[in-house]
Amino acid sequence: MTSVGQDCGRDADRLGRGVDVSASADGDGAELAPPTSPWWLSGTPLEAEHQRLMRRRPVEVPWEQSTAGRLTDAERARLAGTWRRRAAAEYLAVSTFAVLSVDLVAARAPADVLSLCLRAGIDEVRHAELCLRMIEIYGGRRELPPPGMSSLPHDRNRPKLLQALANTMLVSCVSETYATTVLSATREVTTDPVAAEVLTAIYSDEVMHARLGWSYLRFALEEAGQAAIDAAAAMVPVALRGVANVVERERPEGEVTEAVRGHGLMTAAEERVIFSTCVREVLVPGFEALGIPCGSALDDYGDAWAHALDEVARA
Amino acid sequence: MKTRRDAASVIWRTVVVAGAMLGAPACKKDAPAPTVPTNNGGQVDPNSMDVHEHDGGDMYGGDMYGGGMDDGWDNPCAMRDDDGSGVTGRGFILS
Repeated sequence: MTSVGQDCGRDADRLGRGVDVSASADGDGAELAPPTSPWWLSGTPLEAEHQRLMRRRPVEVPWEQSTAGRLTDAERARLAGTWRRRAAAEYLAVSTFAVLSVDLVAARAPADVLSLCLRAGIDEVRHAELCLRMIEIYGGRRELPPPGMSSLPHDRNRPKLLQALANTMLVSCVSETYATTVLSATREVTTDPVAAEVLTAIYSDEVMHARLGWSYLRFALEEAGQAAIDAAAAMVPVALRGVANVVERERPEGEVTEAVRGHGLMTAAEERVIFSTCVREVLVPGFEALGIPCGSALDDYGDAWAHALDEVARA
Repeated sequence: MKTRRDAASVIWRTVVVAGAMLGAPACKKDAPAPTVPTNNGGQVDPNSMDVHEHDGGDMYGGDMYGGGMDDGWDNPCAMRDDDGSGVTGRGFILS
């Protein structure tokens, strides 16, 4: 974890230098909104153009209305831990879409697919900024996301279209579609106005990130027929397991109280039910409607898997 | 308040049906249209997605790297399983 206390050198300088967070003007004199997480900027003139990119979809987060001050220290620490993980995941997704775009370029994907994939990477930068700001709100520290790069499966012996399709299935059809489902459900229990607006902003982007995958899947099926169906079918269990790995992962320490839920968290048990519902009512019906067999997916992530933590709690 | 089933239904319509154009004519005129399953009654205007015809072409042609890249960085996509933990999906960190 990167934090003020642990950083050294350039990062520490960036975090601690007291960046001017006031609004600035672009080249035409138009007012730009203050940056979301100014400590994560370069300190160069690039910042103004970055701000224009980030404001492609206006996000009016009422930062001053946060109710974090009403929480206990333990509750704020719990929330900071989750937003820290969210920041890391959103930051990693920048490179996920970058790598996916390489596959799509190699396959000569349609221009609209390429542009939206590249835009998705920019969206993820914005999401990471929002998450960093949330860490500051709950944790009281200005942090940076941990460095790193996403990795996607690669088989250089398979046709480029099928390679692109396989990773589109993983990244977009399954992961991003699940992300939209979980964000939609989380927003419903979120009462804090800042958390609600941040989650809504991320959700709004994820819908298109997910739709991108389903559109390319349809395109690829028409291009490659049975070969695409086979490639997609082979990826279904891999992609579902990939998301399940995230769902099953250990959580930050601390109780998810009702107050914490109001700031945009659910329990691990609830998340299992959401993923299971997503598999049963969204992913499998969608793949099967396109003629892609899903094997044992419904059984693998059915009621037994969804309620596994309930059984543990009762024991 | 919406239920989880409502949320799944919304995602089904706005992401899957709209994205894959379920129930809509094919991108290519000679391809059959996938049917819309009835589980969520997804009804989406297929014209809401502005999809154009394309001529297909050779999607499989050639080695995109032309054999000219170094083994150490032959493809950024090949950077995987650095920690041996296998594929990890993205999703959204819920808790």
